[in-house]
Amino acid sequence: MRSLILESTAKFISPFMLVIAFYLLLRGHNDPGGGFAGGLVAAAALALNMVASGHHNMRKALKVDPRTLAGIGLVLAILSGIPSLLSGKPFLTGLWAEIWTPLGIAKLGTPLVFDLGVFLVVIGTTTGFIEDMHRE
Amino acid sequence: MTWINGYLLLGVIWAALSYPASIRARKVCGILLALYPLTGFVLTLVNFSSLNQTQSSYPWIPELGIRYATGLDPLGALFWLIITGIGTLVYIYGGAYLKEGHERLFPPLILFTVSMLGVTCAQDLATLFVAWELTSITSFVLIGFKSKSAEARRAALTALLVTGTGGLVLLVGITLLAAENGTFAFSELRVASPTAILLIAIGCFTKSAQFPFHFWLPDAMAAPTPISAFLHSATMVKAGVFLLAKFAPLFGPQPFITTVGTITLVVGSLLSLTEKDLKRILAWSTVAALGSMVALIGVGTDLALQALVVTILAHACYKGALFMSSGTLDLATGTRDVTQISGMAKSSPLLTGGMILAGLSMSGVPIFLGFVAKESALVAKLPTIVVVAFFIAGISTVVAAANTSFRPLFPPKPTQTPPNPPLFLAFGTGVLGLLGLVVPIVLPSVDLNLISPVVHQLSGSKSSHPISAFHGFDANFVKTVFILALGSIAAVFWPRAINFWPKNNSFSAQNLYQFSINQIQSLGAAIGRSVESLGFRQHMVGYFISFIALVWFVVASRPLTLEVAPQPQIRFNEVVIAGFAVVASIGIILARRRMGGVAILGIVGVAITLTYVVFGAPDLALTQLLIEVLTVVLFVIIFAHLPGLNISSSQLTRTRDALVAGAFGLTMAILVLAVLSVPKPNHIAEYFAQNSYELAKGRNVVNTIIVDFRGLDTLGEITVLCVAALGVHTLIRFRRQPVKGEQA
Repeated sequence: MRSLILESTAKFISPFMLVIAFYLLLRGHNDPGGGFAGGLVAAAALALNMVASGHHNMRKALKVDPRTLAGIGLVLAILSGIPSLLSGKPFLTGLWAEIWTPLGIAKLGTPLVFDLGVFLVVIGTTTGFIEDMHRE
Repeated sequence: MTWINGYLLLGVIWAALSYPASIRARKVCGILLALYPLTGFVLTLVNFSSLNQTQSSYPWIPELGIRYATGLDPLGALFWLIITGIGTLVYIYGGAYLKEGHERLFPPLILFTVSMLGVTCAQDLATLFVAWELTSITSFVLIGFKSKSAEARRAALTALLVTGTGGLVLLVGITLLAAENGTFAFSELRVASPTAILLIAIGCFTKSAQFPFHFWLPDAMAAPTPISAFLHSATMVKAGVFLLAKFAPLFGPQPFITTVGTITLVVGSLLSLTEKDLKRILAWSTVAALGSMVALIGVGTDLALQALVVTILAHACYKGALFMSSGTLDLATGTRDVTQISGMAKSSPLLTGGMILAGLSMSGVPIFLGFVAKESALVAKLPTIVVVAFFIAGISTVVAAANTSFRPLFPPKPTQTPPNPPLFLAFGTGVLGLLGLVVPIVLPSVDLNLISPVVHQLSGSKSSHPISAFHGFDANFVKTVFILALGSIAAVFWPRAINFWPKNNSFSAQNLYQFSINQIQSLGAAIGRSVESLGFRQHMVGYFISFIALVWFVVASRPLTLEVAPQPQIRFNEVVIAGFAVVASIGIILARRRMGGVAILGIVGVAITLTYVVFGAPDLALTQLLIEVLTVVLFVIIFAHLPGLNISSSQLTRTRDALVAGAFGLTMAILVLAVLSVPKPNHIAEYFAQNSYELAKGRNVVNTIIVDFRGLDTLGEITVLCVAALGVHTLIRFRRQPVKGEQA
């Protein structure tokens, strides 16, 4: 049953939701948020998209199979632990670098990559669940 | 980083790259990918004289003294040469053999190669074990390559179960050994108790298909021939022999190992006479050869160990050659039945030449490498029983060699001219067959540089016994001639005798194994049947009742203290939130429609979220709210497909359910109160709160714990998430469609 209201609203809202999801991911280290919360918001955006206009559109937006996305996230998370191995510390030790940007000093580190990996895994698995249920 | 660590790392990357490479360059992928083992072969050859520079070690678990330590010793280098050398030929062969599916072959094959190289270069017991298990896992994938064939899947599972169980026994053995010596490093091991020796030996026996664990090897022939040629002639099955040899200076001569090896030798060689399938003949013959190697290790004298090294070399060459030729013949004629193939000599000179040379080496004809190996064994003054066994085995091996190399080549002529196999399907056979002739010719140099260093390492002594290709017309030579003569006569009469062999003999190790597996599965099915008739609700009731009973049982023996601390006044918003939750819960029970129930469930979720907010846990609140939203979406999607809610249970059942639910809720509430009454150690929370900014560079303690302090935990969690997603996907998308007339 196609609902015009839902479709147009979804088209309008989902990009915002994705931006918020990414924002939650980035702010997670110092304020509430983080990979899990961001991933869930992004998955909610994709789920909204799917309920409104069907899973083909969602797939076109996502471009890859959700499970592939989850796999990429997992690999990212594992890879984020390797730089510390190469500098003699235990696996998954956080390494940080300070980068000067016009807005101030930005701190980038391997936990951010790890969080990004978590983000992708949550998106991939949740979207995978919802998509599988929806197709049946 | 030492070159061997770099080479191993390169192998992992190479395996990943081989997937797209096999898809893009299907015709030449074998040759391209063979560059990796070829490089390894050259590197090992070049560095053979400077092996002590290959040692390296990194701390892994310092508290236990476990390190990641690699390094080549002469034995390891010998095996690296075999693995990479035959690997090069097998990769080329595999690329040419398969018509499709290369991208499923090469990644696991390359990973297997890396694991096998890891086993042979590990200098720490834990590192060795990890590599050992990796070879079991990758060979499981490889044996089950034809995943649609039930036979292949069964064979892969058998191999995994047998070698995996052996791996567990091995783990106990090496842990015991490490505990006795106080170290995990090979170079520091000094003592070995009989128990440790026994356990480690059993682990090696399973891997190298010794009696009574020998039955998995012929079944593993269900894999495509390139895999069989690599795993089951040259590499994986030799891992057990390798480890026993590596431990030889520590363990010393062990009669029980000799016994097992001798029995395997006789059993394997006799069973090879009962098979008509080319690959199975070769498989049993491999079992026998492994038995001979194990027996030689068990004897443990200098000469026996020397014979061992030559046998390893000779066997790798002729077995690899013959396995590859069997695959080529299979492709050319469509069958592997030895009684059906003949007259193939016309098809390819390279193939024919290789097969003849390999066959002669396998039979032990002077002056081939196989003959040198058998001569060394005869010279080694083995116990009489072992010599008798070698005799019997020698005769059977001649027959097996005749069956796999000569019989397919010579007349009667085939009904039509066989097609000429492409070069790369015959290349490996030709090269390995030629090696069997060339190595004895340059034997003194090979002995000095390759064989003697290994023998010195294994025997721990510096004395040298030069091998020669020919000892003169002495007693041993007469024995050799005798074996060859008897063997040839037996080979002539074999086709007639084979028809009398019963098809399935009822008593064998294989059947015992199969019987045990069947019993275990029947037991599981019986247990499953006893509960499957229950509905989901009955299951839940059962769980709840068991849980309640368990909790109260524990409480009865250790009374709880429930301390309800005098609270500051209860605030109005907390009452409202709790009230909403209670009213909503009652609403769910009374709901007439599923959708309504789900919506009301959402209210409970929101109430929990608000509780988190009120008590100051914003991350939890955020996550709870999001999960709530997504759960509602999921439920909506699922319930759209279900029929309407049908309340059909009797009043009695509902009363029972209400009582159980009430009891469960009460129990949980009391448990929570009891947990809150226990004084909490706060130092962990304080540590995290204090160090969150300094060490983890973040102010959100929850997030820094998840992502940094306890990151490994999170890594495990997201792995579980991925596995769950795959599981759900498989269950939903690949359900077996009910066949007409069958119950869904």
